[in-house]
Amino acid sequence: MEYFISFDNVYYSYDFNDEEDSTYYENYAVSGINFSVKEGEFLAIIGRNGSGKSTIAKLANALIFPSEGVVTVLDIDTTNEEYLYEIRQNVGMVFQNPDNQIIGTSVEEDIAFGPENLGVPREEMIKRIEFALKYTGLTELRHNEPHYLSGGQKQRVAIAGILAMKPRCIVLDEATAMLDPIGRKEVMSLIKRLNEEDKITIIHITHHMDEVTNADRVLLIDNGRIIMEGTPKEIFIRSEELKEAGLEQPQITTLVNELADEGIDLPRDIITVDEALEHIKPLIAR
Amino acid sequence: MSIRVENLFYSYMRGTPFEKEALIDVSIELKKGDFIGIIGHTGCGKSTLVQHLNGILRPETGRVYIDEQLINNANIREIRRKVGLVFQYPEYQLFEETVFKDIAFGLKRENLTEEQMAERVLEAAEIVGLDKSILDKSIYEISGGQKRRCAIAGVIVMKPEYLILDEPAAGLDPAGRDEILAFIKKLNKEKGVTVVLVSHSMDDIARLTDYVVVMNKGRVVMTGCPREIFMQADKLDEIGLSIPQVTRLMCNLKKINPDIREDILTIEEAKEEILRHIRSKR
Repeated sequence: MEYFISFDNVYYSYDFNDEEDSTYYENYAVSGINFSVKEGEFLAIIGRNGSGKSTIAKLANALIFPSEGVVTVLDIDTTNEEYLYEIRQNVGMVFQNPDNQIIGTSVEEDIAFGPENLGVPREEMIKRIEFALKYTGLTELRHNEPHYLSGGQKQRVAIAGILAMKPRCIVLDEATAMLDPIGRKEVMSLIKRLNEEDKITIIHITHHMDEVTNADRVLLIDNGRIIMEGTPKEIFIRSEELKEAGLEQPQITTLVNELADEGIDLPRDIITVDEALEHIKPLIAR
Repeated sequence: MSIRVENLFYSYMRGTPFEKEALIDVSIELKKGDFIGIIGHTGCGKSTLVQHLNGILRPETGRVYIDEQLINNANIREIRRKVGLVFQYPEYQLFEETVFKDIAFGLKRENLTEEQMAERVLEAAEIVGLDKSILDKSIYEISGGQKRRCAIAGVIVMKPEYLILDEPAAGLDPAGRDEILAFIKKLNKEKGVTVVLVSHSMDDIARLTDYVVVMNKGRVVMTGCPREIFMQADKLDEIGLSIPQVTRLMCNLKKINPDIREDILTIEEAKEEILRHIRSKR
């Protein structure tokens, strides 16, 4: 297996049901997407509302199937029904709204839902739940009603539920969009740890630029197409193109570039406050 | 003229084991004509507070005055017409058949002719940037961003003097967010509507507001103009709020060079300040 997930010239239209009527074909949410994700990679996908990000997420774990082209997970075509459960077990999804994905009446029960449906034996299940609770820092809240948790805690429950299914990849579809800064930090540090320590492949879909700085690679999507691909640094210095795609450069990158325009000797690809401090401090120290 | 809150307390699920104090001794005054920001992280009481400002929640103890008028049962309709409230994710509350009807719903009890009503709806739609052509569409046919605008238009159509918005830009991309905030700012500047904006985004608050209320654990912990508030970076950090990147940079630079101004809110200001220091050294 060279790639964990691979998109080969993928098109998708939500109007595609009526296959006889070719006029629908033009209304593509995703049109001609090609990319691959290696196992253990942290890939960020950014783009404005309606750009096709979520469609890509759903295609990646066989919730929907390409109208044209092929999506493979672990070298298996996602349209191959025989392997549907294997694909979904290996690619966990966290959605945007924490309230829409919680079913259990306690944290523990909610986490058990996935493995229960996979037919995991009881002994093994208990182990997995303990592990997931501990990993996400929810052990003390195990008997709580999910309804009363904060947004960040609810998203951690959702992630714990996925961990209990032992996936090799997690797709987060704007999972931080409805969270406050604290909740976002909780979720981001959790997925960073999953990626770095446990080598779980991460596909993180967002329009918060500061969540992208840790990614290995970034795809910028607009109009259902990939319009830029590169490291966060490579993406963030292209301020005009970001703006055209409805996104914005991090404040700090804009500042550094404006200073560089004034003749100050600074690298233009600074994307975090810490980096900027390191370079500006010597210039202004007394 | 103002919104005045005096010694407000409020608890949820009172008298049960789940009782939770949401507001503890809150006293603030929000001046008419200002653009006011309320910040604080989830669960700090922001939404509970703003729901008191048009009488959706009634104080357990304490008082809320709108233009010196104490909110009570007799004047509640008048107060609600004066103080419009846009909830979080208001697009979930759309229910009419068409965009037009949904925006017009609040006007039904206003004794207006059909023409007057249509005029008001068109005006509100224009303010929020909804094209005429979508007014006859079903609310299920329009995009999420359009639904959000439609819901806000349904409040603006009532011509409130005070407009309260609970995270109106949540979940939108930067371009969508800027558009929504731009028309809210315009309403404040051009029509003199007092705006109370609840937000997590310190960048937006820094850019837009005249006066900021910071809440933490049910209490008001800071009030003042954005500059005064954002200078206290350490205190904001402590309560888990993230200050704008450029403000964070300047506060850290000040630690090695005390001459640096730390009350910096925009990229432009940061640039000027850094250039001034680098050039004066040469």
